[in-house]
This record gives sequence, C-alpha cells and structure tokens, in this order.
Amino acid sequence: MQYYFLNNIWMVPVYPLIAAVIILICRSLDLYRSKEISMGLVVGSTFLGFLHAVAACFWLFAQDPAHTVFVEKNLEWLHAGPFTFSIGYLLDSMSVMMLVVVTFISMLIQIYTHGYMEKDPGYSKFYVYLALFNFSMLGLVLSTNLFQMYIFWELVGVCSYLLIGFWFTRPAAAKACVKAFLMNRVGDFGLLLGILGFLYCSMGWWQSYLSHNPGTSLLSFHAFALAAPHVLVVAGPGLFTLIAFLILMGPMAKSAQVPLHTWLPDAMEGPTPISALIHAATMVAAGIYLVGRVYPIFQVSPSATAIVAVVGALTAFIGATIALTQTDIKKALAYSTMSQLGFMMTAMGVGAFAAGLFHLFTHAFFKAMLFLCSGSVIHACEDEQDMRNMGGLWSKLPITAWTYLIGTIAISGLIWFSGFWSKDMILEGAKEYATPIFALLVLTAFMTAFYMFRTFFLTFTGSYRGSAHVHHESKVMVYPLVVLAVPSIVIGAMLSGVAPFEHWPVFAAYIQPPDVTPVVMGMLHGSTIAGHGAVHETVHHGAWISEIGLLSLGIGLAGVALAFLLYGPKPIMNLEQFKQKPVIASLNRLFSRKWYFDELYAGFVEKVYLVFAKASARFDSGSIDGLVNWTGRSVSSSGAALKELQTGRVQTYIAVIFYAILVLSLLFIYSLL
Amino acid sequence: MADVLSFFNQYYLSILILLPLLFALIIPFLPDQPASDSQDGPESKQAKGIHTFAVLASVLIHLFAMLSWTGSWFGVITPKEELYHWLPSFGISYALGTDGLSQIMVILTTFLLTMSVVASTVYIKTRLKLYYSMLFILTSSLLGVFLARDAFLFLLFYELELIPMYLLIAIWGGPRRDYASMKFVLYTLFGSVFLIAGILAIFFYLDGAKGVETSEIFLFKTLDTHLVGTIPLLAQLWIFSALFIGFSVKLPVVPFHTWLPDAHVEAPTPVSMLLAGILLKMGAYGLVRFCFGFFPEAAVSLAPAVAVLAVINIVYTAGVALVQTDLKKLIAYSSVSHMGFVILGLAALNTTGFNGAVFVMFSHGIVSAALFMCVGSLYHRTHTRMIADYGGFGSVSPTIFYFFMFMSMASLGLPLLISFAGESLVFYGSFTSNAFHTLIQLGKLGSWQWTMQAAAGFSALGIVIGAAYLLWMLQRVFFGPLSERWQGKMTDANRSEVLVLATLALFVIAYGFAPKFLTHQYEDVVDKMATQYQFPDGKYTLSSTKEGRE
Repeated sequence: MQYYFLNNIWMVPVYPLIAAVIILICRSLDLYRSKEISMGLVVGSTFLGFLHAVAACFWLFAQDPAHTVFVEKNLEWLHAGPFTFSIGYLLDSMSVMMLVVVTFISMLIQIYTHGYMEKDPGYSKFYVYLALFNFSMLGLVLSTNLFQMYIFWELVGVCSYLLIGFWFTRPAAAKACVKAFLMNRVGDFGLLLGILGFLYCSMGWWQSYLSHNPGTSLLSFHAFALAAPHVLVVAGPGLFTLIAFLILMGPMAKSAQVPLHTWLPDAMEGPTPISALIHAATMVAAGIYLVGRVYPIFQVSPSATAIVAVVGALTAFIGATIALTQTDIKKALAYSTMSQLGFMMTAMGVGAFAAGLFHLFTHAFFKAMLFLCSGSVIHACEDEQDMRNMGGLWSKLPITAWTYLIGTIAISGLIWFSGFWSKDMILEGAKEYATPIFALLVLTAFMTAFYMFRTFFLTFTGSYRGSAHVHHESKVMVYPLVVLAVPSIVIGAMLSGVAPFEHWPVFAAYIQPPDVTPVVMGMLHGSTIAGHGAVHETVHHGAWISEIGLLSLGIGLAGVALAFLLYGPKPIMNLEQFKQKPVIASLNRLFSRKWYFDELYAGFVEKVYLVFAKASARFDSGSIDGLVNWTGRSVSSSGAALKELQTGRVQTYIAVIFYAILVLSLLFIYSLL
Repeated sequence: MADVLSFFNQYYLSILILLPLLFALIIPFLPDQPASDSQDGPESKQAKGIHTFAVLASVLIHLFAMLSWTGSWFGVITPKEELYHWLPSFGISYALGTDGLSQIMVILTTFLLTMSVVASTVYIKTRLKLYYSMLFILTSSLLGVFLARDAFLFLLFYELELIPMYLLIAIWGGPRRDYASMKFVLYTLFGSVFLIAGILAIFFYLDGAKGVETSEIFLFKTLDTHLVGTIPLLAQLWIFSALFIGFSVKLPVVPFHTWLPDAHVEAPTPVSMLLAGILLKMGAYGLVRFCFGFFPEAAVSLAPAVAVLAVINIVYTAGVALVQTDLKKLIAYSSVSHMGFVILGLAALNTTGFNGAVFVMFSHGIVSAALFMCVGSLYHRTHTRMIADYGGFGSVSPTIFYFFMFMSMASLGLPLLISFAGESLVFYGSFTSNAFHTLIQLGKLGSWQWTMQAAAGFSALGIVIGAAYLLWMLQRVFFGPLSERWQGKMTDANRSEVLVLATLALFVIAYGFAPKFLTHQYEDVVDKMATQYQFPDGKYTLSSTKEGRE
C-alpha cells in the first residue's frame, strides 16, 4: 500500500485537477446541484494527496538523515535545439515537507470553506479554483527543475488572481487581483531573465551534464550544486550577482519581500479561506521554497547571500512596523505574514537554511489558523473587519479566541510553542552572520509579540464596540481551528530533537542545504571564496533553554506586556494623545501609509509609464499614421491640382507646345554656342 | 481503392486549393436571400440555408485538409509535389508542395475558416452569398500562399487575397470601412512593390547563372540551392531588405503597422478573426520561408537590426495597446506586439528561436481569433467598442467573461496554455543565440555581442506590459458593478458563440499541455533551415566564445 502511494506520487497534483475538471464539466452541463458533491470531490482529492504525502513521510523517515536519497523522474515536455524541457516529479526531504504542509492545510481549509462560503452563489466555482490552486501548488512542490517550477509558479499566481478577484463586482477586489498579478509578473520577469542568464553561461555545461546523466533534466535542482560554481566562473562575480538577484526577484514578488510586497496586503480582499491558504500558508511560501531549491546559487556568492539577507531583514522590519498601525484584522495579519516571510528569507540569506524552511513549516500551521480565526470572527460579526468595531468577543467565540491566542503565542515565539523553535534557529543564524541583521530581527521579534497581542486584545478582550449582531461560531469552521491548534503548539518541539521527543526525526537533520563546498574548492582552488566555505550547517538539536531562546522569550514577553498595558482591559495611557507627539506622529504616518510604497508605484505608473504610453499612442496615430495619411492625401491633392492643367481647350495646348518648343530650341542653340 | 488514393496523392494539393473556390462558385446558385433581411431582423429560411451550406462546406474543407495531417489517424494522404511549367521563358511555373511548416499553416487556415464561418452565422446577416463566396475565395488564396513552391506563384496568391479581403471589409465593415479598406489595400500594395522588386531581382541575378535552368528559376528548390553563391552578398542584402519590408507590412512590423488597427476595427468579427489569425501569418510565413530560409548570409548580417525591430514591436506596441480606449484596437495592437516575438525568434538564427517563432505563429492564430471573437460577442450586444462604455459585465455575461479571461490568460503567456511554449522557446533561443558573435569575428560591429541578450531582455518586458493591458482591460470591462446603462440589457453568449470559443479553448489547452504534438509537425523543416546558420563556434557557452575571441 505504501509503495502504491509512493510510486504514484505524481498523482498528487493530478487528483485535484481531475476533481476540478469533473466539477467544471458537470456544473456547466448542470448534471448535479448539490453543493456537497463539489466539496466532497475537492476535499477527497486533497485527502488522497495527503495519504501520498504521509506515505512519503514514512519513506523519508525510514532513511538515515545523513544520507537521504532522492527520486527524480522526468518526462520530455518540449524539445528544440539544445533545449529539452522536462516535467517530472522530485521526491526528497524538501518536497516531502512541503507536500505534508500543503495537503494537510489545504484539506482543512477546504472543509472550513464549506462553512464560510455556504451562502455564496459561486460556491462550486470557488471549489474549482481551490482545486486548480492545489494542482498548481503541488505541481510546484514536486518540480524537478527550474523550468517546471516556473510553469507552476505562474499557475499558482493566476489561481491567486482568480481567488483574490473572486468577488470581482467589488472594485477593491478587482483592483487587488490585478495588482497581485502584475506585481508577480514583475518578479517573474526577473526570474525569467535570471534563468536565461544562468543558462546562457552554462548551456554547454548542461549539455554535457545531461548526456552523462540520462534521466535528469535541464535546470534540474539537484544539479545546481554543480552548475552554480560553473556559472560563477564563467560569468564572473559581478555578472553572477546580477543573475542571482534577477532569480531572487521571482521569490521577492511571490513571497512579498520589499520592494515587491505591496500586493499581499491588498490580496486580503479575497475570501478569508484564501487568505489563509494562499496568502499565508502555502503560495507565499513558494518563494522561500524556490530559494531553497536553487540555494547553491546563493551559497557560492557572498554578495548574493548578502542581498538575500538584507532584503529579508528589511521585509521583516518594514512588515512589522506597518502591522503596528493596522486596524483591519486581516491587514494586520497580512503584514505579519510579510514580516514572517522576511524572517524566512533572512534565514536563507544568513545560511540558516534549515531554520528558514523550518519556520516556513511551523508558520504555515499557526498562520493558517490565525487567518481562519479571523475568518470566524469576520463571519460572526457580519463581515466586519475593523478591530475598532470589535472587542470582547471572547465570550461569544470561545474556541476561536482560544485558538487565536494559541496562534498569537506561537507567532510571538513564546513558551516553547512551535514558532519559538524556528524563530530561535533563525536568530541564532543571524547572530553568527552579522550583528545589524541580528539586531533588526530582535527588534522585529519584539514588535511581532506587541502587534499580535494588540490584535488579540483589541478583538477578544474589553467590551464590544461594534454595532453588528454577533453570531455564534459555526461548527464546520471550528473543527479545522482545533485541528490546526495542535501542530501550532507542539510541532516545533516535536521536530527539534528535545526531550521527550529525542527519538523523533529532527527537522534540521533531514533538511540540509546542498553541498557545494567540494565543487567550489575543486574549481577555484580555494582562492576567491574559501572564506565562505562554512556552508555546512551543524544539525541543530534544540534545547528547552538556550541563550538565544531566553533572549527571544524575554523580548516576546516584553512585547506582550507592552501590548497588555496599551491595549489590554485597562490601558495605562491615552493612545490618541500619544500619537499626537511630533516624532510619533510622523512615524505613525510613515507606518500607516505603508512607507509610501503604493504612492511610489502608483506615481511611477501614472506619472511616468502611462504618460509615456500615451505619448507613444499619440506618436503612433499622429506621426506614423499621420505620415501615411499625409501620403495618401498628398497624392490625391496633387492629382486634384494637376487635373486643372487638362483644360480641354486647344488654344492652351498649342500655347504650351509653342512655349515648350521655344524654350527647348533656345536651350539647343545655347548648347551649340 | 488504391487508384483513388494515388489519384488523390497526385492532385491533392491542387484539389485542396480549388475546393474552396468550387464552393465559392456554387454559393451564387443557392436560393436568394429575401431583400428584407436586415442586420437585426429575424433570419429568413433562405439565409439559414446559406449559413448551413457554408458551415458544411468549411467543415468539409477542414476535414479534407486534415487528410494529410501526419501523425494522426487522419493522415492517410501523402501529397506529391506538383509541377507544371507555366511561362518557362520567365521562369514561372505552377508548383505546389507541402512540408511540416506549410502543413500547420494550412490546418490553421482551414480550422480558423470553420470557426469564422460558424461565427458568421451569428454576426453576418446581409448579402450572405457574396460574403461567403468572398470568404471561400480568400481561403483558396491563403492555401495557395502556403502551398506554393514557386516564388512567383506565391506572389500571385499573396496578391489575390487582397481582393476578397478588400470587399469583406468594405461591404460588411463598420462606419469607417471605406477608409479602412482603402488603407489596407494601398498599404499592402505598397509592401508588394518591394516584394515584386525583390523577386524580379532574384530573376535577373539567377537568369543565365551556372547550373540554373531559366524555366526553374522561381522554384523554391532552385532558390534554396543556388541563391547563396550566385548572387553577390551586397545584392543579397538588398533583396533581403526589400522582401523584409514587403512582408513587414503584412506581419506587421512597426512602422508599417498602422493599417492593422483600422482594418481590424472596421472589419466584421469573423473577418477580424481570419485577419489576425491567418493573414498576418502570411507575412510571417514569407519571412521564414524567403528571408530566413533562402538568404542566410544576409540574415546573419541583418539579424541585429531585425532584433531591434522586434523589441520595438513588442514593447512599443504593448505600451500603445495599454492606453487604447477602443477594445478592438487594444486587441489589434496586442497582435502587433505578439508578432514581435516571431521576428525576435527569427533573429536568433538558431533552432530554438525558429521553433519558437513558428509556434508563436500558430498559437497567436488560435488565441487572437478567439480574442476577436470575444470582442465581437460584446460588440454584437452593446454596439459599442469603447472600453469606457463597458463595465461590470462579469456578473451578467459570465460565459463571455470566462472565455475572455481564459483567452487573455493564453495571450499573456500563461504556462500550460498554447502561447507559453512558443514564447519560451523564443526567449530561450534568442537569449542563448550567438548570432552576433560571427560579426565580432568579422571584425565589424564589435559591440554587438550583447545585443541579442539585451534585445531578449527588453522583450521580456513585454510579458509584464502584456499582462498589464489585458488584465486592466478585463478589469474595466468585466469587473466591478454593472452600470445602470446595461441593466437588464446584456445577454450571455449564445450556443454558436460557445461552440466556437469552446473549440478554440480546447486547442489552447491541448497544445498548451502537449506542445510537442505541434512542434513535431514542423520541427524538421525549421531544424533544416537553422542548420544553414552554423557559426564557427557552434557551442552555446560564453566561455567558448571568450576563448574564440582571444
């Protein structure tokens, strides 16, 4: 049985595709009307995928973590000249991890959706989109090579577009989905150029690699450890950094990294289950996953690594600062997602590979849960999203409140909940890498605890400030919350190798960065980047108490305390007055206006590009077409002018002939002289 | 049975070209449509009969064309070349032949003809007999263009297409049809001047040259073997340029493109579908077959210029499309932009680029026809093309909305839909092209080395702007609340429209998932063409070129 699931792992993305096609055909032919059939098909397809993922997990954990094997199968998709593009599936520790996350969380959210979207006329359509998203996301996870990943990368983008714009009659949603797609296209533009540049410098190498290793594919992830050093030699450090940066642009857009992040908060216009699934747990993490897949590119170039670290740290910091000022519960969570993605990206940059992916893993559970909680709150408050109109919801929504509290604790990195372990590892990595980045992350961790508890206090404690009638929690929406609460509490500790889990698999032992050191040493004779040889990450066996752990606990508790004092049941000061102070006011404006990124981009598009495009259009219809029309007109007007010469009067003709002969004979005489 | 088959093998190509012509001649003898039939009134019985006849005829033509589609259960016929000397002293013959490249263009033609005829049953109501006759004559000339194996015959068919197209726009077109149809004809004739000049120049250079029979001068096989080596390089450059300008008008390439938006806007929907779907491809086909097939030496020298034109085509027209206020013009400009990918792929001068260029030709044919169909379905219901007049149609016309969105996604190059494979090949081919390294070794234009990479890089901006104008258009047309003006007035797609769009969508998905099935048809032709471009350092790595230079 296990072998069936393992050998047919390529079916995982295919199930949801089949489900989507069945629903699409049956619904457009009106073969059934029951909503439960749509849900059943989609949840069932994901459940099958989950079984595959579990089987793959057992397969992985049966291996020795120091020598995990991977399975790669490829099918030729397109062939032209020296290029053979393949599509296949890759089974290794990273893809297994992502498979578990995606199928598990997808399944729960699809169940939750039944409650959330029950009264929506587009119910079945929503499930079709969810299934298509699952297809794309799982295809992305199982990709064997960068080209295949680019395919599914774009497909998850379009699913995100469809789902953000699900309520397209709302102008805000319409705007948000277009913005999300375009921002991601900008990233994809970079990614495409990066891939092309990378290939340009290594085409010959790939050809010989493929001829020696049949069964692999062009741009295969497992060959990057060999290809990246080669490209570094061919391209030279400067050009290589450019290529690495271009490739990074893709993840920057998808994972909402500064400065390509502005689409993510707007994406909250989509239905809340989507915010939980796509814009918190899975798709936005795809950027981190891609960086992990092509990690050797960043390993071999210190400057590329530095870019990743700085981008990540800035994202974490900027996201947290904006989150401080948000009053919309989903927007606050969105900025916290951005900030946490920044943490993951920083981890990749500082060389804490396993830490970054571990944080991706734990974050997926508790952030999905937080969003589902917010969905439950919004549903109960009749689509109210502003936290200023909430408060005191604890008594009405007890389970939601408890699970939200669990998620808040987890994301703040407190009392050994799952977020604590992964954040701890990232901080440790950052501390070894560079102090400024470490300091920025610590500050961000403090702010995280503060703003998360702020949302908690504003929503669930105090007295109710809104006017809408608060409903009770719906059961189908509460079960997924409870199920997700369990991993949010324990999964971090369970996979960190601490007692009593010392015999459990350790996450960091299985998720190891590719080993480029020998190749680099062999090629460069240890000359240029020998100092950066420390790419081996020591397997992190977490401890219940460690130096960094204490620090992050302290920081987190300080944040909680501050939130309690300012937003708790008895605020110690009037915040509105505090916000009037000059420095605070300008900071508040900067944060609440989101550092003016939106204004900057809107200004560029409206004031620069659209003006340029309009000028081009004027040039096109004025100058180019004007010339064409002028040619036509001048032909007909010259014809009109010349036709006057044809008078039909014999006298005129004779006169013309006479004068012509006169002139010609004068000329003739003149030439004789 | 065997005799029948061999008869068809022998005369298949001629029959294929004559079949639409035959239908065009039969249609006038069908019962007349009553004079009372107007654009908006109910359809008479006779009109229905004419529509039905045309649909059946076009399906028959398509099925007949499919008989030679290799690699499928359809492909029972292997057509033979046909050659009759027509005016031997001028080198003109009636020569037909086919290969993978011609094959896919023929199939595209007949397929889109069928789609266009089905669309016509919805959108065309007046003077049906003349309309369908013209449509079928147009098809004949298109098939002739793709099947001709003689340069002069090619030119003949290429020009023949003008007459029915002129009438189709001038009679059934929109308010400014006189201007648009006249502009279309004059503009195309302007291009033809260059084509005729180029083809005549070929004759004068090859006439009397060693190893060339006068009666066979214009045959493709003569051009293929004798052109390089007989004609001096400078003359090749001039002929290449003349032909390039000629085909540029049809493709179109900026700055010869301004006829296209006007013609598209004024042409009725089914004619727009054909115009964008196949007529533009005649120019592209000419470029592939003549410029890059027969003039490799000139192509190598002029590739940088072609690449620059490609970038302008892609990026500039995408920007122009972004700010169009007329929906049909927007789609028309997007066609121009996509044709830029064809010439970018050709400028790469390698197998991948050529493969990609031909793929884009085919994929754009399907997608642009579908997009014009979508535009037509909106226009048919609202009688306006201004984007500002639309808004919020997504909720009242969901079928049109989803098809339009789907086709827009295909057009902006969404993976697993048809355009993606072609555009990818063009990007990969052009970016790894070392077409310009030869120039470096020639000692001229040393700084061209990165031009192709830069061109490919700038063109990639097209995928951003392309997404921008399509999505923004979708947002303005379909998203948001429905405006008062259309409350209760807007309807969804009818059955014929769904049939056309669904069929096109099926091909968009099928070739998107399995592009190999399309490349298999033509890759041997373009691969052979690309082998002419063997650069001294045929390796595709930067390092080897660096070594080569030192």
